[in-house]
Amino acid sequence: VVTAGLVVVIAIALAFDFFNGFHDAANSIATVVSTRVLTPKVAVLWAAFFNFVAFLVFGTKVAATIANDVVEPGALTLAVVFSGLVGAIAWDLLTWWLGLPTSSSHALIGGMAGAAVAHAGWSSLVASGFRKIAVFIVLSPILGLLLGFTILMLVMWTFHRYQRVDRLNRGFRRGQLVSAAAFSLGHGANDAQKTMGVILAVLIGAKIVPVNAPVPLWVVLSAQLAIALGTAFGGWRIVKTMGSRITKLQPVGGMSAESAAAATLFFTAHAGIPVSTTHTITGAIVGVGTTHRLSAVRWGVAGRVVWAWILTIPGAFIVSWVMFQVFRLA
Amino acid sequence: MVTIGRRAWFFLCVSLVSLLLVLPCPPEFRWVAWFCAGLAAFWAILFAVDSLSASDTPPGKIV
Repeated sequence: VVTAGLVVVIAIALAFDFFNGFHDAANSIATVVSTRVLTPKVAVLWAAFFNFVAFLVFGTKVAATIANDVVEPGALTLAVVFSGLVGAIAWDLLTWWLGLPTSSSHALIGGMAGAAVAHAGWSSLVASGFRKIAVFIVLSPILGLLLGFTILMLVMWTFHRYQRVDRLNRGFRRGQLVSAAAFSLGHGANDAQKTMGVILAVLIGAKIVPVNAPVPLWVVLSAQLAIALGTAFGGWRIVKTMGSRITKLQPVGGMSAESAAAATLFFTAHAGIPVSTTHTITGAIVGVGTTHRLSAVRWGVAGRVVWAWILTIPGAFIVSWVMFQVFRLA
Repeated sequence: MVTIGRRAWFFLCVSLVSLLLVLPCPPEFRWVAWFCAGLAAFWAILFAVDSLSASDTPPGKIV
């Protein structure tokens, strides 16, 4: 039965997805705009389009992981998902205010877990799912870093004797079109699916769909549309880019970092592992910066990402746990 | 004194962190941790060899 509460939770989940796109638009278009391959207007539309069509390429394995492998489906009530979402959003706002580059994805996972534990105890958590997610919190930026470094080194080795630098740069600028599209595709595949997973969880909780059911098409389309719209609106407000905050990027560096992050996100989306797209592109940009010298990387920013790793899941867990207790009392 | 350079140490650390992740990784994804450890070790060795060979070069000699 569709209730007002269910509609409110789905609306909050889609709003979370919209702000995810809004917040992460910088990652998708930073390098193509800063290297003037595309104007900001075209870059935003380019990224929004590829965010939207991601479901056609990657399916919905990440959504299934969020719906079934974080919390036991039996413990997923409307109140649990609502508290989890509100806790994740509250944690995101708090860390945004503190200037910590946290991951919305990890906040969502921590939030759902906190609310579920408050509702049904520790046994409501799925240990194997948490183990997979926890390992890839660390492994996905490392994979991005190593691939970013390796791709750029291979490009440098291949072209180091090439004399026509202008022509080469033109080629890399075109390459960035493809790499930015690939990264947007990976972002749409990974982050929109987290919202699909939340909506699927709430539909399972309300017994509208059975456990292990596929994600309904209207859920897929609305989540992809929300993240694409968020990307389109967020792109307009970007002043500081992810690229220039961590290290200065040339077209070849931007192309390598985006390709590395896209490859990592393609793999994780295919394997059904929810990872942070922000941390993955950060790792890839650090890898590209490391090809020059270690001091080319602003380690302060990279260090804040590490703090975000450590704090986000426990932080969102505690906030959502408290939220659930408050709602229970109210 | 011969040193192996900061980048070699950096990749060595990345390799060790990846190795530490092999055990907690679910069995079907362990190859990812092994792949990262191997790739980082490869770059660590390459940078170490590079800095060692650079320190062997006599000062002022053009190679």
